[in-house]
Amino acid sequence: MRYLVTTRRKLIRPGNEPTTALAAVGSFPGVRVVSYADPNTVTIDTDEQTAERLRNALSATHFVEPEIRRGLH
Amino acid sequence: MPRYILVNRRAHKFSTEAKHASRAQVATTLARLEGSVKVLADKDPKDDLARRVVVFDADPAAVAKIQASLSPDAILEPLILRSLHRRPVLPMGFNNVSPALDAAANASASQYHVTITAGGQALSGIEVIFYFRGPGSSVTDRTVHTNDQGIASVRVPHGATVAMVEPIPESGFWIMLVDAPPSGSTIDCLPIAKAGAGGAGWWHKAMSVDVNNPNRGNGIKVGVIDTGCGPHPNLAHVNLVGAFVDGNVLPGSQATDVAQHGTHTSGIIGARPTKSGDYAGMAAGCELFHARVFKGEGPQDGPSTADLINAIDSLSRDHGCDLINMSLGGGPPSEAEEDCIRDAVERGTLCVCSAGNDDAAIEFPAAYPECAAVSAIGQLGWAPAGTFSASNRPQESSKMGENNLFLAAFSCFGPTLACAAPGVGIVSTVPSNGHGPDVYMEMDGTSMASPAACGVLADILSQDAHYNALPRDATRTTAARSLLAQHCLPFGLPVKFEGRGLPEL
Repeated sequence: MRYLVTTRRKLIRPGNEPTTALAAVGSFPGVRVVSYADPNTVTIDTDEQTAERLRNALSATHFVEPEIRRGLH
Repeated sequence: MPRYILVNRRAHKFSTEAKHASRAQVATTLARLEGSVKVLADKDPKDDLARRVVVFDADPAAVAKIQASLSPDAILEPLILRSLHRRPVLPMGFNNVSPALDAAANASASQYHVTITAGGQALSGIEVIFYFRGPGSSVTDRTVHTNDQGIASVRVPHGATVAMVEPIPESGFWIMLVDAPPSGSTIDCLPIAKAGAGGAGWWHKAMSVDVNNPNRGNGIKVGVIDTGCGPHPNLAHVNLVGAFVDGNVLPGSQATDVAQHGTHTSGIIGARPTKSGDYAGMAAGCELFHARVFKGEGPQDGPSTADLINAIDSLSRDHGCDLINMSLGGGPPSEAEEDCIRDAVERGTLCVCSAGNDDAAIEFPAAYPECAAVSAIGQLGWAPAGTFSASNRPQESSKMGENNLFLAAFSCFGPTLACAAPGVGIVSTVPSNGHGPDVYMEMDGTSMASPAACGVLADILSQDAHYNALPRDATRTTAARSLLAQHCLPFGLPVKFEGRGLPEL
């Protein structure tokens, strides 16, 4: 499944450089980085169990959630 | 003559040599067609590795001859025009079709055709949607294109009847919606009136926008996240910041419109008329930015939340936009998306979002409390009878307000609406590629209401010295939101339908 991992924006401030989403997921087995234009906004492929582990491990600093697509109004 | 598109194939062309060879086939094919085509548009990028796209009218016999020996590196096919009036539900008047009319439509067995004209001239190559009612009131639809004589033919599914026919002209004429016309009949699309003095439509008047003031919106930066923008001469000033697609960021040159929707919404905010009869943007003097996030107009072409986040970040962080318009939505909430919007709020950016077109609860992202959600309203007397827009008048008396204003039948609504704005029969710019120098279409949707509100808010902010003195942080966003509320005038609908009312200058 495809997930989006982002760094909590409130943590990104001048003088404060939290672990990027890219770095945070990089060490996780079973995660494939699909794309990122910004290392704090990373799209990954992984299974539900790994996503849950990621969510638990990173909840204080990052969001991990299934990818959502929007449509036109 | 029918219209065609010629492009070089790019997929699976990985080497520079392969891309050059593919690109060269466009010129070769054009040369072979010389004398039998009228080129309408030629996107011939300076980057010789990029795709060349040529649109032309041609004799079908000449094209057929070329296609028989066409290089596999070139793609030559009839030009297909899509509609962005994507409705998850049927036209609002659908349930009113009388059985008697259904029977009339089905009397001529399974082959059915209508002729589409505009001003008495056949409209060739336009999209026509046929709505069928099947057994048990099941409903299906099918889209076809008219031929050279303006005839749209369709085979009626077994056991079904034609309930409605909806021709969609490319520009200059209303989209019609006709109840079960007999097979063989003609549907004449009505012309759209030119703009009033200075570029005014009913939406400008309803919101008290002075179109004769070219400085309205001056000093305010407005971002639009949509399907891309232009080309259109009245939007030449728009800053194309990039395309944010599939998690990647492409340069601004890739942010031209891949459909029509983004050019329409951008025009509602910031179109600058270049001649009499052109429709003006609500905030023609604002600094306008556009970020493309759609890949096309198909159901799978919508942006992911990653794309929206990248686009919002760019407009808010890199370009310092005061306002961002998002005429899009649907799907569940996203913490990451809301986090990004919240971050934008803290940088002084207010996101103005369309509520949705499902006659239901407000959709995300409009439903986030950080966003200003906008419902769509219409005005009695603007859309002529028989048009698609006229069908968007509600059945319920509770949606009929004062001053001939009504909540559009399709509009989503809810108690968290910020305001209501015009979204029925709104005339604005669409890309001029291949369709003349300056093209207009009318569209309906909260997609149109949101930029109308956003544009008027830009005008309001432009005139507010206190706002303009504020730093780019949350206080600025709060002030923008507060000014929007202060400038809204209720027009007699429940709060869940109109929010604070209609923003007026």
